[in-house]
Amino acid sequence: MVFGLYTLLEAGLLFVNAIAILNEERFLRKLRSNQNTQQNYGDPTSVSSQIMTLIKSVQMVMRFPLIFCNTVVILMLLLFG
Amino acid sequence: MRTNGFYDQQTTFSNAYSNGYNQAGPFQPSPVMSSQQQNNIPSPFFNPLQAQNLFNDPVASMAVKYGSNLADQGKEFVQQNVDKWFSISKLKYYFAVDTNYVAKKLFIMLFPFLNRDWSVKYSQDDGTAVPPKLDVNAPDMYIPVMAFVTYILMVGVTLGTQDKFSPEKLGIYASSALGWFVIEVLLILLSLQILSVKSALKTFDIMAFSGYKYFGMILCLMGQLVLPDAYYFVLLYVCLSFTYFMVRNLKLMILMGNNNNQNNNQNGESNPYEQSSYGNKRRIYVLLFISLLQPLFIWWLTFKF
Repeated sequence: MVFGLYTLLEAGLLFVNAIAILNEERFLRKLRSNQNTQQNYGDPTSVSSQIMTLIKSVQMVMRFPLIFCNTVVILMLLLFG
Repeated sequence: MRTNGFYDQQTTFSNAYSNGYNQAGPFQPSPVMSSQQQNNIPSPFFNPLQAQNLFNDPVASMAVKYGSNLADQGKEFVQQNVDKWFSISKLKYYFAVDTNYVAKKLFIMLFPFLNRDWSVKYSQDDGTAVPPKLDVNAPDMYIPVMAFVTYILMVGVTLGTQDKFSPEKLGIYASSALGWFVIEVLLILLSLQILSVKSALKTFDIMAFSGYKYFGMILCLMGQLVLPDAYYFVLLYVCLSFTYFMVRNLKLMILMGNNNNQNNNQNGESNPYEQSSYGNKRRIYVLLFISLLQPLFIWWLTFKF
């Protein structure tokens, strides 16, 4: 399907945005308590713990670049439609 | 050494002009050269010793020196910066191929059931993988790169036969195919990381294996050019053979990477049975996922023509 590189980049940016804005209180706490009761800090290689690690690291690392990329994309969309 | 020579040029430039054009080389290191310049006998044969003095004009020769200086500095700069992202020497390993290897590899891709031995050979002195010239099963990047470019050209040809071609479309299809390639590699890396499958697969290996299917896509498009209905038969056969090819190739790398983990449990105790059976199920899932991505992408990138 012809999507163009820019469209795919924009889709990627939206995906990372979605990971970054997962609400801590409502959503991630539930996942974390599930993980704690299940594995008892024993198995850092299970799927849920890996996903938690991934989400946490994306939220921490990409916060500043995401702000920058979102600003750039918003400006470009405003200027060039 | 060269920068010293360059600065010497600048200070002695006025000397060269005052002494005449034939002393354009006070920076030449060898004493033989200076004697030849002072004699000023133009040699009728092309003497390589005098090749540096081809320009009798000191300005031109200085420009040549300056240019080659800049080129050297540029080369160093590029090498240092590119080395930060990925090492070029590792990339060179993937391009060490010859025609024999390429022919055999393409044959294996089309008829994977004829190949008997799928193991990758390792060299005995340093334990790293043998370059693709000497081992048919080693991954390489030459075939994926060439197949990618050929695939884009084939898309252009196919569009041309349907009177839908314009040069911008080549660029659009090229960038979108590149985007899908990046997405696929990222998906595979993500799945390997989330399921915590430690295998011997490096990023370049994954890129190489993902790039092999472009050869299948070329065959599908060629089949479509011959007969519009032949596309489906070629697609079916290519999907089956590429799935089998990927499974056989990755089986050794993914499923055998587990043997290193059996005795290295983090708590210090070894649970070989529990960990290996749990780990094996995930590895099989990852293997199936990677192998099924191939026919999906082959179909996805060729069906609309």
